[in-house]
Amino acid sequence: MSAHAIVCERLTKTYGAGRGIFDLDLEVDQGEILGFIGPNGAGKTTTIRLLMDFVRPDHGSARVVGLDTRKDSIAIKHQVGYMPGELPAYPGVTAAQIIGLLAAMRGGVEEAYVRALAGRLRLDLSRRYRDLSHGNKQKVWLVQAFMHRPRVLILDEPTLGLDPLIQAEFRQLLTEAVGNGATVFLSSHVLSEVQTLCSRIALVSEGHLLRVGTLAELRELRVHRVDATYERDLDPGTLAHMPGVSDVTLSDHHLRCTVRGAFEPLLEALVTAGVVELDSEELSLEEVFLATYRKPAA
Amino acid sequence: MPRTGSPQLRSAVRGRFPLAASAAWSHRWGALAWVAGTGGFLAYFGIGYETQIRSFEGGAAAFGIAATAVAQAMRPLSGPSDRLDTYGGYVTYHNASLVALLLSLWALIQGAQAIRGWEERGGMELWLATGRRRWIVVRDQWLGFGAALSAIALGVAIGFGAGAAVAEEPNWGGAAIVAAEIALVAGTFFALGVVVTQVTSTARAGAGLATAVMVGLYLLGNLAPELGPFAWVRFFSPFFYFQQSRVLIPGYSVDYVATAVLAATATAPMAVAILALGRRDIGGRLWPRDEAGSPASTPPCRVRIGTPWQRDAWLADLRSQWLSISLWALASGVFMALIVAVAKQVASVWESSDLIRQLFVRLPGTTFVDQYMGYVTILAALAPVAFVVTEASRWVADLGEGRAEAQLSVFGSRSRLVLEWALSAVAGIIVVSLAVLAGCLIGAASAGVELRADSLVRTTAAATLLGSGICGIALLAVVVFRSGFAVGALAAALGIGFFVSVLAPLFRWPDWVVRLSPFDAFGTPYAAVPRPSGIALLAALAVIGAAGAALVARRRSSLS
Repeated sequence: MSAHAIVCERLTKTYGAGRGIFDLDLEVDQGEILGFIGPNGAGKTTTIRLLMDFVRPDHGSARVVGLDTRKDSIAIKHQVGYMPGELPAYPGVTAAQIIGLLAAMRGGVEEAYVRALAGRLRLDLSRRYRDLSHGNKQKVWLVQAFMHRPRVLILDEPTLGLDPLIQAEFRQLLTEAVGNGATVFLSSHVLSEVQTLCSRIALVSEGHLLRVGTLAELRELRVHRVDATYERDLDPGTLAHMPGVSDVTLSDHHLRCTVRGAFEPLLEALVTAGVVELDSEELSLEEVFLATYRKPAA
Repeated sequence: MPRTGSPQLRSAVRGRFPLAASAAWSHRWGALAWVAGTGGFLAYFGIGYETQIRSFEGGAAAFGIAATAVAQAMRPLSGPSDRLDTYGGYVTYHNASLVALLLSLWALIQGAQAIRGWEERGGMELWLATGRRRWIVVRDQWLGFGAALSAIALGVAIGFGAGAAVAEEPNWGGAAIVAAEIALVAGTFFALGVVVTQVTSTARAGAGLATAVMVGLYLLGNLAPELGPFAWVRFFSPFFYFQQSRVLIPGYSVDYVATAVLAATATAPMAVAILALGRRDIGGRLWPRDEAGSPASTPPCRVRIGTPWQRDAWLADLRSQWLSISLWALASGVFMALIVAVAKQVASVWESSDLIRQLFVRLPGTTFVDQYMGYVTILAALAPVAFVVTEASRWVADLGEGRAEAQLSVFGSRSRLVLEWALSAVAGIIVVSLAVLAGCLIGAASAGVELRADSLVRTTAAATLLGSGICGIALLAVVVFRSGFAVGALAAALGIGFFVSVLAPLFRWPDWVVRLSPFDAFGTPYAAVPRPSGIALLAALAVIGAAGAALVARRRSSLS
């Protein structure tokens, strides 16, 4: 049995105009929560739809719980809980009827467990789906994703529209699932959610995987914002060519910039300039993320 | 505390064929409307037929001769006829083909929605995520529709059977067989809807394309005998096979080969659909565009603001529907062109029949062609009316899928939303009515038929007014019910209304019954100016319906 719950090898699906996912190599270990992070249109949903065999790859392959997503699609789905990124439209039926239908199609779902999940997420099953708020509709799809105690959870933007209390309950559900040996593939662009939940993070942009690592590894990319006040002159030309220093603003003996990596060259320059006050603040992962994906101005 | 103990959950979790049962349940209102409307109408038709025969001078034999002459002339529209001196012969000619055609249209739309529609709504992914194979999803949707169709067939069989019993020609077995044949034809077009939408990118485009194919096949089945060496093309039409087992007609029996072909056409396309669905992406095209050479990043796209089409929401709405409206216009125009092209032949048959000459008292200065046109332009009214029903379906989808809310977020007022819907629909009605006019002119020009210009203009104006009146009712129904029930009820009411207006004179129903039908207000505008009261009624329906809809929309707590 493979130690990886999900493996993608050169997985590619293109929709033209640079859209899709290209040559994705990714491994998700059993029992981990992987955050699949990227801006809108990065290829997150395409990757998930490939894993679920809703769309077929142009080339490359993927395996879930050791099974090929093309050849063993049905066997995989029996072990996967899936939540779509877009809320389906389901006219004329109640939340109970939708969940009941999906539970019956899947088989082996305990009614009591469904009720327990609905209770924890404060979902009124008797209400018409169409009349539910966005957040409550989201709960319907969360319940159906968890209801059969899957080995792998593939969730596309799962907390969109959930209030903070329900988000906390969702995190608890995930923690319990992982505690029971489940693996979670969680797509999101909400970094705060990923920071608190995921053991590893994969950054994807424009269909390409940029980086995969643990939270600590990604913190090596850390960026600091520096504010300094100095007495003498500071040469802007020196700062412009200083490695790791960017976004430099100089005004009235005050410096504001960001620093990646080593601080030494900047500190030496500031000492020479007679630094009288120095303040350094580490950027949040969200800010790092934005800095990573920020394109140079046209 | 939220209610999590719903009994619906327990029953659903324990279902044996859950998706098929769910599909059948989703067709419940449509099936009920068909059973009540068609079954009731057919049963009542028996009473009307019996009354008609008793009062007809010369009895059933004379009626049969008169009706046969008309039926032969109308062959391209309504198929073959025989033994019209009997209830079985008359109801087979008059109603069976029409019920088969209308039920097929409904089935086709359901087929377009069964797979592609659920892909668009997002349900398909969830079904597949449960571990069901794609072919099982197709099979279950087919079984679910089959269950609904069986219930409808039962209602139709009871209607035919009861009518035959009333007309003193009891033939329950024949009624059941005809109903089953109708169900097979409808099943064929459900399958066609499923197959065509495997190729198209949306359910709506697929339904439009499949409808055009269906109308073509219907006409092909009827026109084939006129095509000489090409008469074999009739074998492509399911309606041809349907016409081979007219067992309600005395002396006719089941054509087992034709029935077997129909059974095959109702099932075999599903295999094609299964193959196609298995090969393509969910939500994707069967033959995706080759975009391998596309640039790695999206080029900047110019956003046009302030174009003439964007000046009003209804104009933008109209533009977004250009393909659908064009298909409607094309189908309506072609249909009318074909009808008008045979006007001379029909008129000559009528003229050669003493009985018909007695039946149709001609107004001074009119010809049989005029009388024929007066009759067939009643059909011209059906095109804009059917278009309005599809518009109502679109409005319901707009409400259910959040597009109406998005529009409301832009212009705020619910009454404005209703007004924009109405304007867009009326513009579409005008386009379809003009296409009908163009069809008449083209058909007349190709066959050398002389038409009266003033009558044509009057017919076009009346068809537009009728469509607008129905539009008012449709708007009100949609904002009141906010569900597919509004569309089903509207379609059923219009179907019954049309039959009432056509059959009331034949069966001598009281005037107040006839006045209930908006088609009575439409009259026969090619032959005579519609009654002022009829014009006023249609205008009032348009204005009061739209205003009432706006009022209801404003007062509702929620429009979705």
